[in-house]
Amino acid sequence: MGLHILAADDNEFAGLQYKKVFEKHQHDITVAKDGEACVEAYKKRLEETHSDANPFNVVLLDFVMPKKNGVRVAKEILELRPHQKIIFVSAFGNGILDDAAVFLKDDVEIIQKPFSLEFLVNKIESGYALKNMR
Amino acid sequence: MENRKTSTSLRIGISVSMIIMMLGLALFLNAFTTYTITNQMNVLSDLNMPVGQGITRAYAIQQMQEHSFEDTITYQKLSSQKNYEISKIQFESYNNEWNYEVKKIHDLSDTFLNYGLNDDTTKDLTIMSTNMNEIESIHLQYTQRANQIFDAYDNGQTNDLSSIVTAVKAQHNQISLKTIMLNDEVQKLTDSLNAGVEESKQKSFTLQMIIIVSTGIMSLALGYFLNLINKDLVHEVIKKTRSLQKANKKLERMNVLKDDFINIASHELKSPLHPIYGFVELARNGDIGSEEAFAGISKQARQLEEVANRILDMSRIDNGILHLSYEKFNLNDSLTEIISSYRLNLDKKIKIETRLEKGIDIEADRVRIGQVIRNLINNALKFTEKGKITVTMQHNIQKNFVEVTISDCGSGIHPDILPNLFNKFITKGPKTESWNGNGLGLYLSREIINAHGGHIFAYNNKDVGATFKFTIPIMRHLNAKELHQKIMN
Repeated sequence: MGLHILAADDNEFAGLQYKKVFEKHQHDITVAKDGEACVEAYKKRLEETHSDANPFNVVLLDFVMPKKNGVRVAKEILELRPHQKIIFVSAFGNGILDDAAVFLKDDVEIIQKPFSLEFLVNKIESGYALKNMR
Repeated sequence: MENRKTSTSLRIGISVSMIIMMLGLALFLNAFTTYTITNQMNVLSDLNMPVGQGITRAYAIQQMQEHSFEDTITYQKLSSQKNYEISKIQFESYNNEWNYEVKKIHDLSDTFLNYGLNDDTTKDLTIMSTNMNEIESIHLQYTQRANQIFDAYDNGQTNDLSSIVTAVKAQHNQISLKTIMLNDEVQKLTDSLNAGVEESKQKSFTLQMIIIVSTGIMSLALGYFLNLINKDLVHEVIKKTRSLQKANKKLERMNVLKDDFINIASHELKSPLHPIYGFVELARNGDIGSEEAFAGISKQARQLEEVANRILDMSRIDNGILHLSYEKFNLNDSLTEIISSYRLNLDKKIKIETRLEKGIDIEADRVRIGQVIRNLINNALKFTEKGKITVTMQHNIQKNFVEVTISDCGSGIHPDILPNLFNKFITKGPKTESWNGNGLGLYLSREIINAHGGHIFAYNNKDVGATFKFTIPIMRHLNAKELHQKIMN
């Protein structure tokens, strides 16, 4: 079965590449070009599903985005769904991001750019499989 | 502050030298007093006492000589020839003794002058000497008369001698009296010398007291001035410490800024790499065509180049080595060229309008000014989803400036950002709300315009969108008058 993924990245090519690779692996992916669009897409799907489950299996967030940055988007999403799985993608070093309160949660992870697309797919798929096995 | 310190140092120097001078003076005075007192004591012991004793002896001898004289007269009357002769010899012998004694006194008196005595003492000595001479001359007459009598006796004349004998006796009395008076004078001189010693002691004591008190006052002043200097130094140290602390804080702040810069710069350089890897991976797996991958890669590479160039520019500006290469060019031509390149692939919802005054040649760095214009248009496009962007050019030849205005109808500038809009990375960083771009464009634009001697500023429009405006001189190194003449020709 396919996963539902929401990806936000202001680099149009990065968004396009996420779409290509996840669709190739039969996952459903929504791409947002900035923070605001990302929050809107999340809310929209939340309304459509009418379910207690999280609207997306994983939310991929870039840190630096126009209109709303990654941390703000994550806070807003976690307010709506406190156990939403979020993966931050960043070209910043890890150290600089550690202090943000959102990272204390188990469901939040950081991946440093650059990484291979297959690595990302594997990470998300295996993480989800592990969670289902429990 | 500096003056006060100098004058305090001067005061300390003066105090120290005065204290040293006072101590030197005290030592000198002490030595001088000791010398004077010793001298007076020497006069007393070497001269006055021997002279006094001599005079007493002379007096005694005179008395004995007189006795011998009376004896000769008595023995002559008694016709005791032998005793008469003995008495006469005695008289003669006493006479010699007296002369010897008086000569000794004279010799002593003469050496008085070698002791460097004061005027009063010298005057006393002169009077004493005169009196001595007088006594000597009377004594001489006395002896001569006595010898006259003896001669008369020896020749057998015995009559009419009583008058001479009386005269001799009178002279003897005179000598005795004058000798006693002389002795008194010597005594007086001794007393005055003793008094002089006392006076010298007193004077020296008073002066030394004055010097000691003055030195004490000087020392107090010295202490006060040293205290002043000390206070100044303490003040100075506190001031220096504060300024060092301030400098240290500034350095700490700069260090934080530098760390931020390195973080942001590495982020900006790493960001375009990520899609490049993505394209390579997708193309290799056959998920996309190689043409699509190459196009994407080259676009990302150009972005990377732009970031690198901007960081280079920024570092040039920060190190003060941004050099402008001035050339003459028509600003309208440049504007038109840049805007038409944008129009080629413009979103249909957006229009770029131009309002350009009659073209004018300006003297500026064409490439850099083009960079600024592109920056501002890019910004306007970034925040405008639909509507028009207006580019205006105006000039004022009298005041020697051109003004370029770029106005959009986008979302406007966030009020938090506006005051620092032209600073480095104001729109970037992991902890700030972010916008597109690398956070250096407006900073570079401002620095380029400032380097031309111009100004750049921005404001939000009353209705919608924001306006950016810059002015630069038309001609550099040219005053308005020359410019005016140039246009008239």
